[in-house]
Amino acid sequence: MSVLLGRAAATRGVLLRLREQLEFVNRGRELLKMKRDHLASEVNRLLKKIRVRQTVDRQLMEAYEKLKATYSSLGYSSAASEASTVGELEVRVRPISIMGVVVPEVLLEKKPKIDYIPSLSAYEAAREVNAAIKDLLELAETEAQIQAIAQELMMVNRKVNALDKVLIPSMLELIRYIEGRLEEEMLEEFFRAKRVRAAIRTRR
Amino acid sequence: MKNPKITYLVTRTHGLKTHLIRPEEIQVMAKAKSLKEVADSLLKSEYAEEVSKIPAKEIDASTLERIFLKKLVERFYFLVSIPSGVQDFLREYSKRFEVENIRRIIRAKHVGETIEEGNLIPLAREYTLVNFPALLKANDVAEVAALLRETAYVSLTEKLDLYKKYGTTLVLEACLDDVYFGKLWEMVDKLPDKKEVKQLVGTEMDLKNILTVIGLRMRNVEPALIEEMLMSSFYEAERRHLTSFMRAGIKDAADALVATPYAKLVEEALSLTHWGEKALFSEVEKLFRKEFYGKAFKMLRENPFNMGFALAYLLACECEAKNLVTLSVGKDLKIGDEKIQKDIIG
Repeated sequence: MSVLLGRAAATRGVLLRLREQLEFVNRGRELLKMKRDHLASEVNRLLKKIRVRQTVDRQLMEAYEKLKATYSSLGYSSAASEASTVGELEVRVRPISIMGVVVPEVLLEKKPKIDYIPSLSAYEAAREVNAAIKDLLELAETEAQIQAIAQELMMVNRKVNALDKVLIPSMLELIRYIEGRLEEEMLEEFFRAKRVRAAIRTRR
Repeated sequence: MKNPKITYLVTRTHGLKTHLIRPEEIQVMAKAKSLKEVADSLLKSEYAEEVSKIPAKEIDASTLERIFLKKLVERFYFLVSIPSGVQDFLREYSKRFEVENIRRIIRAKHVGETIEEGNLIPLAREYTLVNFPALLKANDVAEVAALLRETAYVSLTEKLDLYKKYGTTLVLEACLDDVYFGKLWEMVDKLPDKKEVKQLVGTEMDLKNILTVIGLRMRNVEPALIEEMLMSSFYEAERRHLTSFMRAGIKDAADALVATPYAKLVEEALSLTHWGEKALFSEVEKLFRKEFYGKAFKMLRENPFNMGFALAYLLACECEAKNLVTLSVGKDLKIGDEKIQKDIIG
């Protein structure tokens, strides 16, 4: 504020420019507030989706137990051989924009084909893991989106606060200061003009 | 009068049987606090020589698994080396390791994965005519089949079109089983004590066929493919039984096998599957495994003086190796003692 006050020249031109700037900053602040509200509602929406985490955790624990049982029943080498009959999981991650925030979108392109696993216990374990994969990917996508949006939300909040608490008040103060100075100068001018007029009248 | 060579084989087998770790002892080992403790217990067994070579800090389930499999192969081929007059049959029977190794190579080549000798069952070069180093270097399944053209597995080449059509190695694996069991089945009739030997080989074939049908039907695999997967030799569950079992509805599936000794087992298995999404496939597999090795143990108890005993001994060796793998991997993965004990067969 003091910096602004110290550097500003108290002229009508500066005052006009400052008023224009203030209007621009106010509009920006409103836009940022709108963005903040939208991001907050987006986070709220995503938080509802994240509730599946408990289910996914449980699913994964069950799958892990089945995998352990399969390894124990077949042995490491045989289980690895059974697993090699399963094709790879194909996932594509593409960036999408939510209110200018770039977040990842995870697309499950190809689920591993497990129908032809020779051993029944290996198939059972694979079935459990496969069932958890879709939810797991959705959860990962949601968590990554929340992280990116929350980061942006924090930044927007800081910007709105900076505008609300620092920039706009200092601009208003500067405007008030310049207006005061201009008023004083106008009064001075008026008084000087009056004195000059009185002196001229006396000489006549 | 018994063939003296068979008597010699059976007598030797009786001696060898005493070297096996009894399932009860494995049950006790299941209570061990760590894998290290399991390895210590093994120092009193036939595995001592190999286990003692591993430094204490380097003991892990994979290394132990390899030792168990190596010993298993040695036990099989030791029996083959005894002059018994049935060596050819026993050599053929021992080819199950060769078949398993080819199976593993085919699976890896199917998905374009590299596979090394360490991923195979340790099978000494003198026990097999298959050139495994060449198979390991093959680029794809077709090359594997081509390399096997000069062996007993020549029919793999004929199945390549079917393999490509369905995109699964199951077709080729079934072909390998068919070659293996087909050859054994051919030889069984020329053996002394063929009734007992037939019972063990035949039961294994039947259970494999039934398990294939149950497993693939549950996964809604095309019936045409399931038919392709059946072996061409049958024992008590013939093709007509299996076909009607395959086509039967949910409720009367077990009835299709009522003329075979497997009706009760299948009924129990089907009750575990519920024909639905949450089918306990692993339990079905365990049930079949227990049934099969149970037959082998029964043979050991009830037929101590014929060739069936020798074959049952080999299966007891296999069961011991499987039990020890279950135990060591279970300990490695911190599976509870009770669960391990439940999974031990015998």
